[in-house]
Amino acid sequence: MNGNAGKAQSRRDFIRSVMRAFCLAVLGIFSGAVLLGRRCSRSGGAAGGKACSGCPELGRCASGYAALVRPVSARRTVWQLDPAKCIQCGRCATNCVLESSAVKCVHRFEMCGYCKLCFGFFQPGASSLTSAAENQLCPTGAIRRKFIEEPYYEYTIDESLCIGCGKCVKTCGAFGNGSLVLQVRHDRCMNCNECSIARNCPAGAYSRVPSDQPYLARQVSKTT
Amino acid sequence: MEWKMSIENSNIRNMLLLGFVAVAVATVITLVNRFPSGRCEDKNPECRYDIDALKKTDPRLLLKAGVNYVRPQITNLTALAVDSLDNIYVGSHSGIEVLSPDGERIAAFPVSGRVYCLAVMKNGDILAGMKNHVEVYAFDGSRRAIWKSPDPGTELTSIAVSPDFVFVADCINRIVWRFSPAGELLGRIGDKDGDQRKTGFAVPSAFFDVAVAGDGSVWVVNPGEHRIEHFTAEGKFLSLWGKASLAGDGFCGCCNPSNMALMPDGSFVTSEKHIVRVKIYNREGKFAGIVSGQEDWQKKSVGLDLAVDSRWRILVLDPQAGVVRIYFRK
Repeated sequence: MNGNAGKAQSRRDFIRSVMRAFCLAVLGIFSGAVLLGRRCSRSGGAAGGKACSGCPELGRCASGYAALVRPVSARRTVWQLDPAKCIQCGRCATNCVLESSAVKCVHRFEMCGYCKLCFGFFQPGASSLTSAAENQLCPTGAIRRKFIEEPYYEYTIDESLCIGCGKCVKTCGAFGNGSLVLQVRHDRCMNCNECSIARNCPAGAYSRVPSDQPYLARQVSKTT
Repeated sequence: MEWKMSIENSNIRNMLLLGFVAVAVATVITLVNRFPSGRCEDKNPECRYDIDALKKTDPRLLLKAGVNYVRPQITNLTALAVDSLDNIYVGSHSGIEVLSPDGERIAAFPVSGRVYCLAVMKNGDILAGMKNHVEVYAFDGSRRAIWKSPDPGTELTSIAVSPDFVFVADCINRIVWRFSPAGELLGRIGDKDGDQRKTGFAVPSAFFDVAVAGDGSVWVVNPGEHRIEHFTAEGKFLSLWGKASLAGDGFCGCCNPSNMALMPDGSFVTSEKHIVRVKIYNREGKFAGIVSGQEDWQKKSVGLDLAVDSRWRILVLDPQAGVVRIYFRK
């Protein structure tokens, strides 16, 4: 008799547990749908009134909702240097644990003036505007200069030659539009737990950024 | 005994050999150091990788000039002009202020947006270059006309007036638009000319200046080519001058001069960014001297609009400090 009562009790408990689990699952699905479907509340937000889940700025958004909605892969972080803080000291070239640094010069073509006299390419005071080695600033000849039409030239970076010394970045910023920037290239970076360059960066330009938005780009400005 | 002599001879021979090698190495090192390499740094001090050193002004090139400062009450200064009475006009993100030649405030009024460039016509009308069109204001601030934009993508950077025309520089289309004083679009200056002038204007950044000479001809800065070009009022190319150089006599950086004005005798005043300096060239384009060098300015000073009044004073807008500098001969 007691045995049957115990069995009935446990069956009732089992059904109750199943019902609880079912209710929790329904609640969870409902909450998730609400979160994913939530509209961006920031005025002029990057999502443009769309749901948070579709926002291009989700990786950087500081809101609590974004933290919940963000995909698991985006919560991983990688090292990156902020071009606005970088002082082009040259340590990126020498402090990386890799033989050839993971930091490379990146050319932002939307900012470039396609100048005939590019100070990222030419030595200051170069005797002639030709791509002869003695006129080039880059110690490894990693910048390619291609004629487009008079007087415009296109400059591209050969990353296999670039050592990330930042010489071109410094002069492009000092005498040009600042379209050349240094960035950690994630096809090379080992993503060390403690980045050797970050430890030695005098400007504190290195930080961890979400892996789904691994590049920090300086705002485009035409008034430089 | 024979064996012992042989060892001693061998030691002496080795020592002599080592000594000879050492002398040879020292000689080679001395010779290598004595002759300069082909590297630019060894031949030319400009090639040394010290940007601050490159920006230093050669004191021998400085002209003797005094400076006064005028501080308008409006902020975020963007444009500068003077009229025939030497009154000073400054534009900002939201308005225009008029100052007497001594810097006393005469008038101020709001405008519809950011003033990109300014000019004053003979009749006293104020031409304000907005982003893509020109607005005409009276001295009391009333808006008299809005000129039709010549192109939807226009971004105006400079206005110059002659008795017959108004010339407006457009950094996006890389062209100078020619209007009648009533605002009618008459033509364009600076298209590529296959015969005389193979390239058009190269404008890598939003600085593209135009000025009118006393004879009505037009001088236009071609910043990407580091030169100033001369056209008739109808747009026929006449001549050019200017060269790229970090030295005082040339224009530095990717694209300079950023601004230009003409003195009453036809000589030129130019301002540059990157190496911030204000310079004078004579009417043939020969370098005369530096009025103000990098040391007088903030490192990132930019947008030094220029004007020259009838007293030969050079007015320079300093947007970062929110003042107008007035340079005069000592």
